[in-house]
Amino acid sequence: MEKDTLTLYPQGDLDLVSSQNVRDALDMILYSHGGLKQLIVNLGDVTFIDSSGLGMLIGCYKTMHGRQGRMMICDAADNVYRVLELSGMKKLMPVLRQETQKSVRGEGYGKR
Amino acid sequence: MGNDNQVTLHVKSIGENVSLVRMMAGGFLYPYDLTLDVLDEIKIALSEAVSNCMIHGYENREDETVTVIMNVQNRHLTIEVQDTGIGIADIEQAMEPAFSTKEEHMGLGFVFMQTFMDNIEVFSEPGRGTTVVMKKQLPAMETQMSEVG
Repeated sequence: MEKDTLTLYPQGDLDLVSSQNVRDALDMILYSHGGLKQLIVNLGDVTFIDSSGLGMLIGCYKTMHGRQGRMMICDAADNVYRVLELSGMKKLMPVLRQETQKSVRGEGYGKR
Repeated sequence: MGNDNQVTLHVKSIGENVSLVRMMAGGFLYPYDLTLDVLDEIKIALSEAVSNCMIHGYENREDETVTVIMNVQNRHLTIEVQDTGIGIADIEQAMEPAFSTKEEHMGLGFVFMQTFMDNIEVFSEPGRGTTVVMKKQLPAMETQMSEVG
């Protein structure tokens, strides 16, 4: 990949604590990689997101925006995508959902 | 056919307990055979309410207690989330979308609680704390079965 692009792969639930961890990790990377111009956050392994997670993503966006960079979110599962959509995140940056193939699998059988 | 139940949790106001409360809610709601969508909605609302207690009510002080009471009666879920923190001076303002007292917070907490639950009430007194009461009618099992086909 180009050196000016960073892809983050957070895992599990993005809430109060885990969001702060992602944010801290990103800050550390940004500190040592001044030339970073594009941030991709791959939410493929994120199972849950609340407004703390959204706040973190917005914070990342502001940081990238501040350094004339870009950001996009990809691979969001249906439940995560729904929250991103509700928050109006799509007005700020591209938000892509997980391939339908993955999200259709198990539909209707998703009860636990 | 519903097995009514109630559980009361007192958790320390540390961030890690937000996910713990969500997991416990998952366990508490397990017998009601909910779809993952419904379960996710409840978990988001709960997550927002508990996070609010910690971030706003207790201003990130970690030696306080958040109380969560979950009750199901005739598949009617009531979740009460309480703190004894600083309280909210203007509840109406606090519930406005995009209102936040803190930067990097989107002011979506109450919006999500309102969106994902049927009903939400907030009781608060400055200096005394805040109680959020959220209600949701759990979908009947038959409906869910017919969706499965």
